[in-house]
Amino acid sequence: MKALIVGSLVFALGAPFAAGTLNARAQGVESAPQAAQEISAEDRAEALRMDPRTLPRAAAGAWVNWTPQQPPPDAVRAIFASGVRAYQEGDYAAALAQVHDVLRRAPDHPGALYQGSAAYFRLRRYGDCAVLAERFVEVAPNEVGATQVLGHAYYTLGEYERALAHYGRVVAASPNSVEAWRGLGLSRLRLGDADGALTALDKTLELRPQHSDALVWRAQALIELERPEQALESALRGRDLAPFEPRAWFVLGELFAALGRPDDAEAARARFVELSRIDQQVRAQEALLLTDPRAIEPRVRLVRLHATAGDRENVRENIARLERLLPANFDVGLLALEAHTALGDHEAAEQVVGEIEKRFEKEPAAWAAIESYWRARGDDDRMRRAADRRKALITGGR
Amino acid sequence: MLHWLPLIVCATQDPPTPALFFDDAEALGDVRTTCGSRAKNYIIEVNGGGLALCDFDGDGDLDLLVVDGSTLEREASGEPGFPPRLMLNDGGGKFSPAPESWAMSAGRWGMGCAVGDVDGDGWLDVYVTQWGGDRMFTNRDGRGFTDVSSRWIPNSGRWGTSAAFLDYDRDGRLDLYVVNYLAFDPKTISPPGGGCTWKGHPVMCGPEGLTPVHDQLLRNVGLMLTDRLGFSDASAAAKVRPEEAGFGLGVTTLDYDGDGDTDLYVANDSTPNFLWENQGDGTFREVGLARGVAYDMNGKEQAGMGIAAGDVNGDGREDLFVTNFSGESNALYLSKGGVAYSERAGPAGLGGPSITRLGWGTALEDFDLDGNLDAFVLNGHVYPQADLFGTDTSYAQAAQLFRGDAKGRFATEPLLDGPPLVLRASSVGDIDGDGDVDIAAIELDGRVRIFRNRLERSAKEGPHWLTVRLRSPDGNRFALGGRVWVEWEGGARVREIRTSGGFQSSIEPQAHFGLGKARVARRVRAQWPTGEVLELEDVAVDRVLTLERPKSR
Repeated sequence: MKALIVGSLVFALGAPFAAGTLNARAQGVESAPQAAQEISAEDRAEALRMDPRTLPRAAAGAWVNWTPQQPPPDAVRAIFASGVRAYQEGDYAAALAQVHDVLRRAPDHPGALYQGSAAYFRLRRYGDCAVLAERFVEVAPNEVGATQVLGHAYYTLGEYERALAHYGRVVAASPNSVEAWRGLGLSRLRLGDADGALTALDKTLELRPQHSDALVWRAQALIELERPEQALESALRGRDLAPFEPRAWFVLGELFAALGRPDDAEAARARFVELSRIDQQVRAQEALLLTDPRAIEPRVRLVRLHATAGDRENVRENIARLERLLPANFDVGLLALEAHTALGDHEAAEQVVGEIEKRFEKEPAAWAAIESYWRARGDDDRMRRAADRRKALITGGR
Repeated sequence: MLHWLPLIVCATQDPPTPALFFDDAEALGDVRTTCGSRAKNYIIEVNGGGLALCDFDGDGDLDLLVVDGSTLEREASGEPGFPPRLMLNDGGGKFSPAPESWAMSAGRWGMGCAVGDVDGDGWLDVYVTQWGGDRMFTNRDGRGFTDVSSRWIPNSGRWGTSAAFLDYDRDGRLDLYVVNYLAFDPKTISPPGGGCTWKGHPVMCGPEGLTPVHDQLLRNVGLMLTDRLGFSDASAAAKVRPEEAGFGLGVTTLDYDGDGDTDLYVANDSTPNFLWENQGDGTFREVGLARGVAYDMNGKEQAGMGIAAGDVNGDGREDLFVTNFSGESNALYLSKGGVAYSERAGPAGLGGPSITRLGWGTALEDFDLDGNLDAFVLNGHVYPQADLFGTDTSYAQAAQLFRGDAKGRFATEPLLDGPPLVLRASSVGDIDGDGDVDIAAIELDGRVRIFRNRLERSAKEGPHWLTVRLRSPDGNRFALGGRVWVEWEGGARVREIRTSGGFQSSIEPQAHFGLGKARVARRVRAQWPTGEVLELEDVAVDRVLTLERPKSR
């Protein structure tokens, strides 16, 4: 599941789309095209400009028998499927363009409302997200258990009481909704109910023990309940699961200080500051990608930033995105080599070297990079072989 | 008979309760400020000017100093900015322009101001922050200002925003902390369309991507009567030099650790806030992260604008409230005892209602005189594009009043009736002498506004109040850094004497207390920054109590 930074929070939104009842397969879009339909820049801009409150409404009860397994009407099925694909590719403006199209042709189609609310959430347009999510709950009340996104939207807009109430509805309908339990915990914490927050976060962790963010927020609840030893245990577990997340170190700094461990506090704060600076830059790059998901430069910067933090998983993910955007591109290969080397991820780096050798064997620059890599690794034999290939290519075999 | 029903329903409905404050358009007349173009193409154009509500002419009421800005066109043509203006209070809350003797020369582009008696003559002087060359004006015995900028202060040429007077080295002379924002050059910064976006909209650039500039600590070296500078830049010597500069916007003084010397808290935009802990030996140490006041509860840096300090939960320790950008919660740093703070805006009720707004001027005062501190926040976005689609906010925004209870929880209500405004700096004080606290506010590119407190009170039933001023016969004459404790039946509160706080603004050096129904203050304890203590019992209320420093130490 991809974690999404939303304002000051990290929410995981993936569940209903990856494995929930409202994913593409459940909505009869197995025949969706492999790639999303190309949406023009003009249509994407228009989709962003459009106020979802102006979308037409259906007659009351029009979708009363709708279920997530029901395919969209024939007239909109292909558009809907393409919108789902665009969403999955991170192209939220294109997803919205198609969602709006579906909703104009099939007013209040629950699947499109749901998909639209998710896209608005990803675009950090929480008010618009709430508009479509509220409509969804209205037309498909039996599916309220999948609408934690509406709680997330209220929470992010600072409407903690409404968030709390909605998360309550979600967990009543879907007692195993991990993110709703987590949202419930955070809402209670914001409203000063640390005991209630702890209960909800414990439930989150019962459902998903490796939920690093819930562990760190659980530590926060325990701090407020003046149980620092237990808080420390929870924060350390959270930190171990997500060592590149600044907040875990932030909480650890506070806890170590409270427990009279000034050196540990100092070290945790130093790591927090380091990760926090990187995180700020990461958020700036991710914001650029929201409306221009195919932009290359922000993605390249993300690779380098995650490499600086030591975050192998995010480096690999962003390189994979770049490779999809720029297949067989020499610069992407070099970037991957640079990043994996910086991370000390020799396995990944050597795979990249192999790819570069295969794909760019006629390029002297490729062999220069490989030569450089083996030099840094201290492998003189392979460094010399690469140097020889480079020289041979330059001299044309003379 | 059915047709009667709606009429009956209407007749029995209570009229809506008016907001506690109203915009008194007649108090000041049409005084306006300028801050660049309305398009707000550059970051220099968005912060607005500053205010001070202080008694400059010594007649016992609060006068209003307005710091004005400029335009890029004036700047490009070499014209100075618009000069600061003083408006004198007639004692009843009506202001009129001060005579020519109070005229203040214009600088490049005025921003904020700080007020303090820098030369120890018993009159409040003024420091005006600017983009490019701050200015200082001394008060000639309540008869006018003299521009001493070129002789008394080093000309840094930086973009100053807020400033605070304090006596950090306890030599009896007021020193000055100047908050600086960023390195701004319109020739090198892209206008909207130059690649800077917010929520998908092209907007003016900054502060991210621009270069923050270090703040300055100016030490008062007491050489005003010679040809030498009155202030020297002591930033390096005092170790006020963080590893990385912040985009500074707000500052307040406070003795956060209760060790008797004055510390400084700085709100930074998009960078962690600073807490400068006075080491008592002429140097400072930055402890914002260690004390829990640099980031929000999520461990995220925020876009700090204005600051208010006050003891919101009555535990005897001052807390800190910081206004922030839209999409962020305003922050309440609650003192946990000892020296640590914990960010608790959400549980206090100050967080959620702030998230869709962008806050600036603020203060913690007891506006309804019930004995508990309240807060207000003036709001307004920096981007006119906030009115476009998908922003979850707007350019003009309603100002908010947060009424506090004894436990430090706040309930939100509108500060004013009427349409939302694009507001910025504020200063507070009892403008009309009726015992409650009023507000002066800058509307960006609009009128300077007086928000009068319409609290109803009676001499018998109250609610009652007490304002305490501390005076010293020499040196730090207004006792900045002093403390006042007041106990009454049903409550107790401590306040520190300062002129800093809010955003780009200054206030009268005094401590105001709401006392609810208590007709007497059981105990008033005053401590001067030099350590002397005076205690009084059964003090009459509903008055301004001026206490002279006791002679014996």
